[in-house]
Amino acid sequence: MTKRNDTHESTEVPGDEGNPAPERGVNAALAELAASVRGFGAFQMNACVRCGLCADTCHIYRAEPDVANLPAMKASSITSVFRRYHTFLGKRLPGLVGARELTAERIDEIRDVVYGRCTSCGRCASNCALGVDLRHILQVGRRMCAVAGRIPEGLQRTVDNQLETGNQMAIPQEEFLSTTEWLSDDLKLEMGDDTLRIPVDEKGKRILYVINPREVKFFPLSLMAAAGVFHAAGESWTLSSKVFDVTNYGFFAGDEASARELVRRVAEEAGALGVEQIILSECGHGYRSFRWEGPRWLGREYAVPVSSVVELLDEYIECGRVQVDREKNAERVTLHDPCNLVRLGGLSEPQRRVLRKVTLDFVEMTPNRENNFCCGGGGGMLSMSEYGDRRVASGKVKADQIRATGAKIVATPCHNCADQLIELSKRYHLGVEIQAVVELVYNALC
Amino acid sequence: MQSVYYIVLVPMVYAALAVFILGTLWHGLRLIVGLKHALRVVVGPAKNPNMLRAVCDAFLSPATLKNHPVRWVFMVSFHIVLFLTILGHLELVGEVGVMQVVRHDVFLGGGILGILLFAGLLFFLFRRFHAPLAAMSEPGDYYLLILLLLIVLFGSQLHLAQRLFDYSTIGVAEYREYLSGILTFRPALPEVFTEDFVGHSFLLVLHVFCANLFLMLFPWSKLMHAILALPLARLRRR
Ligand code: SF4
Ligand code: SF4
Repeated sequence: MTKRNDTHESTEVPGDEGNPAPERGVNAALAELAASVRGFGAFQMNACVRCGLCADTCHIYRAEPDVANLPAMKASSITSVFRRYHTFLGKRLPGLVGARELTAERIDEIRDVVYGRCTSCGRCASNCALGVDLRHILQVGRRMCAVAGRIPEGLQRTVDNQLETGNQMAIPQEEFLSTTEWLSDDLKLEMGDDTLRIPVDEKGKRILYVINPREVKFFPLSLMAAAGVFHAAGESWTLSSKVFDVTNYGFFAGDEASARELVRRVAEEAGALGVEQIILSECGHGYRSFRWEGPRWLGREYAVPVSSVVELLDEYIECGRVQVDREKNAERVTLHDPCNLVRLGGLSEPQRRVLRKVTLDFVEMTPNRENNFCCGGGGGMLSMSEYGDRRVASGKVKADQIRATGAKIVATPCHNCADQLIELSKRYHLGVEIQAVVELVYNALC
Repeated sequence: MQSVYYIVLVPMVYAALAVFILGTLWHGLRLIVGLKHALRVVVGPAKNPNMLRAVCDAFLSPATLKNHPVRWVFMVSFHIVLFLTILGHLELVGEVGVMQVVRHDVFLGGGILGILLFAGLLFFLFRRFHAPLAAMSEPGDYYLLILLLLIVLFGSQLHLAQRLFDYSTIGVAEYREYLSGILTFRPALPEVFTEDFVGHSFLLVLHVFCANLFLMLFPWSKLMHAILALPLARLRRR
């Protein structure tokens, strides 16, 4: 499999071959900036009036009200460079408008901001007084770092894993197959059906189910629950043993070439298996990147429709394909909205309809839906150990939200969020259990 | 001195208007070209992509109303007062019948608008000396506010001096003669503008000088947010 950004020095820009690495990185970053701000991008960069109204819309600023965490300030690490190279006053009177040269050191400052102080959750953008898309600007920063070869090591390693082995956790195919086998055995016992098995690499099925590899490694109950619900619904489905990873760390890294390659593989596998639909497991950024960004990266629409599994679960319950009993989930349940699925993915209601049907005591946290707070684990934060303390500190906002609901279970349709929420529960002594939506549905099956 | 007055009141005004109009048009053109590109780059679920809602977002900023209601009232009031002040200048060019539906003396507001604007700008300026805005602000942010403050200060003085202290040498008729001359490309300075170089006419020159600078800076500064707010709101609702 192909691998990108093998070393930090690997980035080449035309006509730049003779330069030492830092200058090459700076030139590549400037070229990326120039490409990103064509046309309207320039206006995004120009529009902020530095009113500061976005300050407390950001969970990171709320948890640590340092000006370095203020969204517009974070974006200004990129817009100040934009002003220096692309605006009339910035070119002539840089001091007057705060326009700054891009240097290797400044790329590292940008790196600390875009990967270490921002989860790309987009809450600031949807609350900006003027509609400035700060998340977009901060994503441009990630792309600049990516072409300059300055993606943080842990994140880069995960991207490389995905490209080399086909999944972010580098799970060998044999391990994947043996996991599905023992899960099939467990499921046979649980559901009392000897014919039951988890289908893998089967052609001509209706659905290709693409999962988060963490389900194989750490959350097998989630995969088992999905298989159980599909069985109860009489679904025609399959997993792929080669291309089973819905996550996309190229998207987090700002490395669009890798991101494109990852979505291409899933789209092609769906074609090779001849399925009619791709169903994405519970994964916020997987949904955002595959459902929304993928067609742009590939320059074409997919051959088959793409949905999240929560939409499918909603459909099963609505049309009576599975029978559920809410009494089976009697404890109070609240819902964490993954930013990439809800605010940036546009999917807020199916999971709510499902939870109302399968739980006895469902309560919303405040705020919720498009205005939810990020859990702190987005943007690839979980793969960058150097920012671990900031990540947990910024999760305080989410921890307070959860505590206020009095819930015993937090449902979240994202395994990435689940990891962070498990850690928050321990660190902030919340005493809550974290579950995927499909697990609650499986538990409620009649 | 007469030629300095003339330069500020005539050629500099034309230069400022030219920079303002051409600069804004140039940005507008880039905006239209860029919008197509932006719609490709910004992907995601459509959020009630209705033009009317985008207009509402741009002019009423519901997100700010929800998050900061007090600041929203201040922000919206400031912009309304600013809009009325700009509107008030139309009556210095000629008679505007529709504006006299509610009968009033020219200038609109009887001096209140200038005082409110001045207070608002002072607040915006002092706010920039406090955290967290102090750390976010660039030198240009302070200069722009100071420039606006000066424009409002001199403009208000012109009006209040005439209204309260009977400085009646320059009245509405003179402003109309001057401004309509500028707009019809037949510039003429009424005698009272240049017959003495102190007091009223001096304030007028200062007011126009600062306004010229403001117009020239407009297309190249964050003041462009006035033009950008609507397309940004539209894009957010794509
Ligand atoms: S709310 Fe919008 S305009 Fe105000 S500082 Fe934040 S990004 Fe800039
Ligand atoms: S995108 Fe989210 S984390 Fe990043 S600055 Fe905005 S609110 Fe904060």
